[in-house]
Amino acid sequence: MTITEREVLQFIAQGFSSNEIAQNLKISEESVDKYSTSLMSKLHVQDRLSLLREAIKHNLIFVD
Amino acid sequence: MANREKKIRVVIADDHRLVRQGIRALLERTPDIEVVGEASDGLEAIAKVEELQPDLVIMDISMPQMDGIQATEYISKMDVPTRVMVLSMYSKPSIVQQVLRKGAKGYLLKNSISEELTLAIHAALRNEIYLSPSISSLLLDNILNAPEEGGIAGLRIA
Repeated sequence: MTITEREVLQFIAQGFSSNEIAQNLKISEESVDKYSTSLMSKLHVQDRLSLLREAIKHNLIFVD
Repeated sequence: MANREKKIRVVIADDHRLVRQGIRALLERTPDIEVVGEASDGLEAIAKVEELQPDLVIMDISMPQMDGIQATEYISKMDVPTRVMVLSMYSKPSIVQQVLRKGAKGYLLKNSISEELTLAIHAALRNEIYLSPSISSLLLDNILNAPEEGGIAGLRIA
């Protein structure tokens, strides 16, 4: 997992849309979707909710 | 022996709270690294260095108020043991060269795998300079493509 993918994951965990993540990270929405797909593939899940569940389970995101 | 147990104290400087949190989540998986502070711009990074004297600042380039290049220059001139490691998405050689000249002890691209960040931090603490492989290649290309300056100073062929 790359550092950017981890950043995208942190934004997904806070409920940001692809468009909002793209604006915040100054990357294209296509790139955000590419990172999301890559994250889902690496964590063997099919959707963002399962992605979040796996991220929490593996301690991949910081929770306030 | 106590030294071996001492954690590497890190400050994260990035203008996005969620980006800082992502990096914090990553570093908190490494037992010998402790995130002691966060800064949202260059000025705040300088203030945190003055206050906390961390071992290392992970510095973003593009930040409001004062950017990472200016903050790196300032911190490098301060009388503190703090080293600066740049973590950025920018791979433009002019930016990389500029921030390294200002005193950064490493330059890591955000497309690096996460584990590289801890490698880079440990390298900086050994007083080495860590560069992402693609950054090393870019810098080497620049050196190799620069015009030759007429041989090595001080050497004369008889």
